Amino acid sequence: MYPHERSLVKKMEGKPFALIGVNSDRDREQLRPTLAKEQITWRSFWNGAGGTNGPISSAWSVTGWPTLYLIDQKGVIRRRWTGSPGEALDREIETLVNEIAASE
Amino acid sequence: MSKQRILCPECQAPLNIDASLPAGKKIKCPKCQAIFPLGEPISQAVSAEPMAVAVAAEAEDEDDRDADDDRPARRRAGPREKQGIGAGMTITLIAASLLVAGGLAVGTYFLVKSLIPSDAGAGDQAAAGQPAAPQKWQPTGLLAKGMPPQLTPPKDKQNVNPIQPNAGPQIGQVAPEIVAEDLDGQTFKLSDYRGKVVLLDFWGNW
Repeated sequence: MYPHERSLVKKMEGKPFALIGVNSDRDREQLRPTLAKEQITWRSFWNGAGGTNGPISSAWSVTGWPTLYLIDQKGVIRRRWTGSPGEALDREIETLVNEIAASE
Repeated sequence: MSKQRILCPECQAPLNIDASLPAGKKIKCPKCQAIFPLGEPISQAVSAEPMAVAVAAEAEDEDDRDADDDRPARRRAGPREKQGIGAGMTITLIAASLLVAGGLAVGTYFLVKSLIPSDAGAGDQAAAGQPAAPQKWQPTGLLAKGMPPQLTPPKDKQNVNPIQPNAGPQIGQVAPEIVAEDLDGQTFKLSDYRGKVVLLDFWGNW
């Protein structure tokens, strides 16, 4: 998933798009080398020391990882995927970003 | 292993047998099922009349022994088995009927027993001049004692990893606010990104 996320962030640079993570690792310190190695530059909420039982994933009823929510510029949830969505992800994001351009 | 060919003294069928078998060894003819002791090698056994007679005589002895031991027993066994099966079936059927009847009786007893006390209680109340409450079946025994007062989990256990697949924010709804620390300990909000398309990615490095 990391390479896809990296390419997505790069492709959408300068456009009204943000990749926001919710990280469910229990230990943030152990994660640091991975952030550097995988060039994870996008910001993530931390789900807390409870890991996958943390408050954010519980509030969102996420029980599988990765789970992705696509939220439009008004804050409305438009799509949800559990597992890697593949190319469909890029298409859906571009569609929503183009909606913003059309509404302006 | 060499073979020798003999003729069955009963049905004259040619039989191939192991040549190393000693004379006098009993052979069962696969054709006619006759049992006879193995005689001398085939050339003599078939050609020499006295030997043939001797073999035949021994075969008859064998038959006699059979007649004494085996065959009558088998003949007797046939009818006896049939009788045995008939009687056994009858006994089994009776036993099964008794079991079923017994089971029904016990089941009915407990059913009635579970119902009657509440009736009796109502009767007592009526006798004491109180209006009889509408009859309701009350669980008794383990069912009554073992049942927790409520099926919902304690409050502190609620909303921890709910199992319902469709629970949580739905497509078409406004995303619930998230206010939490990032991986560096800085607090931020999901609504900070309102006006942008957001891909919210629940991930973990495992």
